[in-house]
Amino acid sequence: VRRPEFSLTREEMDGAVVLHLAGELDLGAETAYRHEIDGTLTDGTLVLDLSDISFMDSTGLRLLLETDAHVRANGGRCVIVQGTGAVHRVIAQGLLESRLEVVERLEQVD
Amino acid sequence: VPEHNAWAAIPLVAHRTVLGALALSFGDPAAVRPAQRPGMLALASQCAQALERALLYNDISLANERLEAALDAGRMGWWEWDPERDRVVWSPSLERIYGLEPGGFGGTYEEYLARVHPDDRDAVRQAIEQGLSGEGHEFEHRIVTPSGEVRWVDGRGRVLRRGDGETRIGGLSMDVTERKRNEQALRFLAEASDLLSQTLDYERTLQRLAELVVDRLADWCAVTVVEDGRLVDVAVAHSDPAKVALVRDLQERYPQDADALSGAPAVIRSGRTEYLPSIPDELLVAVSPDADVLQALRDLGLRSVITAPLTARGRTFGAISMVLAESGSNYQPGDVELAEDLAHRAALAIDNARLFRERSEIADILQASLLPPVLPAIPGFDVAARYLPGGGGVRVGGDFYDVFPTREGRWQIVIGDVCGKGAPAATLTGVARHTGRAAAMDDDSPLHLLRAINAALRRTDTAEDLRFCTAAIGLLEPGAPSRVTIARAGHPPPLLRRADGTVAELGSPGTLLGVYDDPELHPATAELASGDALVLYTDGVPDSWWNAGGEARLAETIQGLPGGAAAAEVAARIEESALAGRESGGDDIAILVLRAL
Repeated sequence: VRRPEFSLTREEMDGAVVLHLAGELDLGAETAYRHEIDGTLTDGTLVLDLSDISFMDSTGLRLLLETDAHVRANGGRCVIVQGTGAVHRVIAQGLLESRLEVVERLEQVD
Repeated sequence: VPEHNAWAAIPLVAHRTVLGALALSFGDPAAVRPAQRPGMLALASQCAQALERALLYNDISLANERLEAALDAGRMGWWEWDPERDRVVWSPSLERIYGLEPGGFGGTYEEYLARVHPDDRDAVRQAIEQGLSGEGHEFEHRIVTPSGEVRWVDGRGRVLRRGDGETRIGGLSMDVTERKRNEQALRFLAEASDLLSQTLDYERTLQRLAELVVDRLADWCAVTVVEDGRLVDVAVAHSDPAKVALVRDLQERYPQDADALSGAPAVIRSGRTEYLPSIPDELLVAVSPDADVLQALRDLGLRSVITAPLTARGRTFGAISMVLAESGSNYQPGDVELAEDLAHRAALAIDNARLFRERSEIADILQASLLPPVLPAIPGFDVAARYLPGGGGVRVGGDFYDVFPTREGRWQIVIGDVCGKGAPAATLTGVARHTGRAAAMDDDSPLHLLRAINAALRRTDTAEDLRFCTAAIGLLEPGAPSRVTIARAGHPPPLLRRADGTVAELGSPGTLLGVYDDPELHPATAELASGDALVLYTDGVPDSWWNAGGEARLAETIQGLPGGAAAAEVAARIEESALAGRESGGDDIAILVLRAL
């Protein structure tokens, strides 16, 4: 099995910044993720679209929690699109649906 | 010319250049007659030719001097060989390259060959003889000067065929010793650096380095380092292994005196290189404690030594000694720089290896302090654990487990995973493990332990912006049947393998620890019958299978185990199965297994 590379694309949508992440969100993706997120943190709405993430470990989870904390501290809003796979499993395991703003699909972001 | 009665002046002309004038005066005017004119012109012509030759000779010897000076400055010399008469002429500058006095070269082809290094002689002869039937030759070869010094010469010869059918061969030779040394030095240093970077096992590396030095630069090489305040020769190499034994024997009988005035001890004390271009016998006498040692040292035939300090981060902790003996040559000042460069590289490599070793030891000790050294024996249960740090050279991971008794025969079973790696993770692991143990003294419910750990992590300051921990804690109440109450905080579900082979997940999801003040936790209780095995693990286990449904693979692995498998076997099989799927540099893995007997 060829493991998918981590990739990140950025899009502006109705005044919100949407980051589409794909591949594996783990230690190997940390540098690229931080680099992108440092230039993106705003006091507006940030949508992290993780529906194409195939694998996420505790490093990946930490990146999400940190981003969420930063955005909230700046008075912004952070929405996580968790999909139905790897990210959903980690979020469910940590009982984080009630702590983060989580939706299943990108279309559900209002 | 008034006092004379007759005179004549004739220009001295050679090759249309007026070089001067010939003035003739006569007492008797009658003596000058037109008939004498041709004679006077002939005289003037001879004078002009003589004068021209004299001037030309002057020019040539000046040109020769200039040529010699230029050749000398370029470390070059010219030569000419008449093979028919076996006459070889060398310029004084060429004689100097060969270490000869002016006129010191005998002038035959065989004498030239005799000065060529014995190992190069055949090749030189062949190249010259081949060149003779063609255009000439071009080669580099070594020569040996009368003092025994080896030099490199670049020689080029051109065949000159003259009209009279005679063949001469002439050319230029250049002393390229410096360039050759530099090339060899660079090649040697590159090889040495390559060798030094290959492994962190520095004793073995230094032995190979000593062997490389002996191969290229020395008859002897020893590397001495300070270990626990004593001087130890960690590597010794010699072109003749029998001599290594001899020296080892000498060293055993006469350990190095750290206060010695010369050699490695002195260099280690001063941090400065010691260079002995030659070793006089008086020095051997001075350093020998007795006649036996003196004889042994004389037998070794030491000629020249360089001892360079091994210094890293401002501290000299050893020395590398290179010795020339039976090969018959001596170190030149240029070799000192090379020895120092080599010593510098070796010192950095040793220093790195030592730092790495120390760090690994600290990491091992730290990691061991985070895990129980021995699992306690729980009556009626078979207990086993496996722990494997992740790859990537980081020895201290964030996984931990613990098993300890609380009260009334109950036991606490803990497994956890702190986010992150290395020392910061280890700090939090320590906090989590010890908080769990302390909290259990008041109240041994898993809920209480997890809340206490959450509160402790919330209060712990670390360099990290955000840190968290996942854990699963079980309270085991042995009995008939035994009961286990499990609470999970962000942790993957413990698995219960029934004696009949079915596998069930235990507990419900709960909030991970360290991020929120009010974790939501849902303890659940299960019964353990004889033969049932409880398997706790960290996410490094299912994550090993990466994207291929790790939880399902883990459950399959456990399901496939033989019914009566002991706890240790269960743990080992899970680890083995996970490792088969793991890539290098994977996460830590911890596995804890309890089987009801």
